[in-house]
Amino acid sequence: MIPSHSPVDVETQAATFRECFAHLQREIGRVFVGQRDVVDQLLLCFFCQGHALIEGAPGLGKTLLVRTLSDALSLRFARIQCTPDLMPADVTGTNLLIETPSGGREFSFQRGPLFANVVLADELNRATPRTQAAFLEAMQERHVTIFGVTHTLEEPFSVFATQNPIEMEGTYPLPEAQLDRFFFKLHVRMPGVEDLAEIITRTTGVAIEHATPRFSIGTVCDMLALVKRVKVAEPALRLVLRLVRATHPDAGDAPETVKKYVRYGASPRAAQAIILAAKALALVSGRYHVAVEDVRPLALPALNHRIIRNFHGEMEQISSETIVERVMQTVGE
Amino acid sequence: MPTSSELFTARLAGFRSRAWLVLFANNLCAALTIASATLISAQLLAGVPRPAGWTWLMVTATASGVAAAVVSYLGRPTLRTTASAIDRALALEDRVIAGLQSANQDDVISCLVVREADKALQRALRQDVFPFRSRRYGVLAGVVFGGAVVLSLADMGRSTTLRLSPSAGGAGAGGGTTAAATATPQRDSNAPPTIASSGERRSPRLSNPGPAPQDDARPADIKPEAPSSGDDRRADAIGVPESQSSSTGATSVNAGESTGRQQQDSVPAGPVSEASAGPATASAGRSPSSRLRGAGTQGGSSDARQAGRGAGGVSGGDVTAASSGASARMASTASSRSFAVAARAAAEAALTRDDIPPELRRYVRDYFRALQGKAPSSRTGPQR
Repeated sequence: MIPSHSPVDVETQAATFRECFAHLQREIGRVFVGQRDVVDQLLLCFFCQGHALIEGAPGLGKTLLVRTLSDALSLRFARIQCTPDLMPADVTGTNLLIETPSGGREFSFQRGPLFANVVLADELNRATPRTQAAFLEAMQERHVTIFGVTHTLEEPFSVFATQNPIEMEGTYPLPEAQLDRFFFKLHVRMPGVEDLAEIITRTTGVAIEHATPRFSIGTVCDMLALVKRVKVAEPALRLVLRLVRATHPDAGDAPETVKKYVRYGASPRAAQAIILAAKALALVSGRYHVAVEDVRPLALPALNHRIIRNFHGEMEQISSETIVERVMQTVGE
Repeated sequence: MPTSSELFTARLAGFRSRAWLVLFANNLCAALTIASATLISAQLLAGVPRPAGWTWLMVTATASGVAAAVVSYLGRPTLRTTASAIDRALALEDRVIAGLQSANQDDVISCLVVREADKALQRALRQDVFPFRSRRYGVLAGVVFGGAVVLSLADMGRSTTLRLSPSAGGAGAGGGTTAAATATPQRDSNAPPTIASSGERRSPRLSNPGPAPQDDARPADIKPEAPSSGDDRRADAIGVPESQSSSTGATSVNAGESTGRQQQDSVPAGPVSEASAGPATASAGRSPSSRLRGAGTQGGSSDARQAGRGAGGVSGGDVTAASSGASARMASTASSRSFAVAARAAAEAALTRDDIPPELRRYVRDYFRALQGKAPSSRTGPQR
């Protein structure tokens, strides 16, 4: 896409972005009750073209959330239920030997579910490491290579994987290197009583709410490009760098909690994720630059899965969220 | 036509100037407080040279200003720090600093960022962002500096009293007094208090002229009927016994003039010396009484009256009245040397009795030593 050269065009695009964001919030809110922060972070992740790992107990609406997002943008949606016998070819697609109309036979590539705009990988931790690797390679490279032929994935492309934190038997926990590929890790928590009552009311009646699409893929792609053009103010950049640096136990300004319970801190991908998401948040806030205020709410989802605890941290059950919050307290403006 | 980036940068530079000014004011308050407190401490502490006088006050104020200017220059705010301060003060969500970063870029987003920042700056007031919050410190600096001024003025008054005390009786002659004011430079405020010797007090113009045939006519045996305040001061200062003090009181008939001389220190020297030239020259070679008469009765001329007025703010008529009364009593034949010897003996006796503060004893000794040494030569000058 050719970037706009007129300030008026950019302002129009920014206004459209804000309108689209508000529309998605509204439409998702009609179907998915509560969890506003999770919804906002999921939308930011999508507009930054990142992938999110959604963690939560069964029945909290993780799948519904991702499907509603796809419906509200009229994007191609694919769902993969991961099991131990799921093969990489089942995800990426494979070459099949088919008969041609002339009677001959040839290999034809049959696209897997990864060739969609929004992919939901349900219970990714139940897939074998080999299948997980296929997923994560596609997520990182945005293309798959089958029999030496590279197939580019569609734009926009986002994978939202879920995992169940309580049923760990028979699962293959994602290695840290693969966790790092996820832009955000979102926690869907048990809703409150009022939200729960609303959920029951909506889902047990006759009428079922559906999200209404309004913006085309082209418009969405324009907005994705606009996000990357947003400027970053130096104080915000410095704050991000200090945050990431403070998660490393060998850093001088790391808090005592990090030095005691962290084995390895966040990678540069964490800084990239925070800055990109902050750019989208700045646009939502009506600015063309990232401010310090944009960084703070994004630190937790971007850092919590990138901090590797040591033995003491795991034994004392110090959560990554606790460590990130301590880092946030330590690193001021 | 300046671009929006240039306008924005210029506007930001205005804020930086304001920040610099506030910084200078704060530093000035701090420097003035510290310097004034140091000055006060030096004046109050014993064993430290006592700085006093207008010179030290001026040095304090000037040094504070220079120090504040230097520190402000070294810590002068940059455009970047100014932009950060504006963002923090007005909660502008880093708009200004982002605008500053984007000011040199020409892409569309940068233009929008600069425009947003410029709008924010247009709405902002410099005094809101960088207010003079040092009012409390300014009051503190003013109070401390005022205290230093008061102490210095008090010290100056004390040193003037010390300087005038011994001369109140001895340098009573109107012409001599005026000449002393013109010939003796203003004592430096930081110099230790000195008691000027008779030689210092004598005007060159008065000590040189011609013969002084009546020098032997000393007023040592004159007993004043009503010692003036100058006499009291002198007696207190040097511890001269009352009898001796009263004998010197003969020459201190013009104590009123001496008192006036305290004021005379602030009178410009030029007109005073000019005014004193007439009667002083006219009375050269005469005894003080005759000279006083010359300035008073004979010198009822305008010059003499001018001299009296210029010397102590006393009109010529007053001088005439005072001197005519004094001349009637100044008929002594005692030698000045005998007077000096007696006075010195009395002073030394007082020194041994601890009546003189230890720090002033040296001056008392010097005074009488000088008085004794100069006595013969004083024959050529006017009587004291």
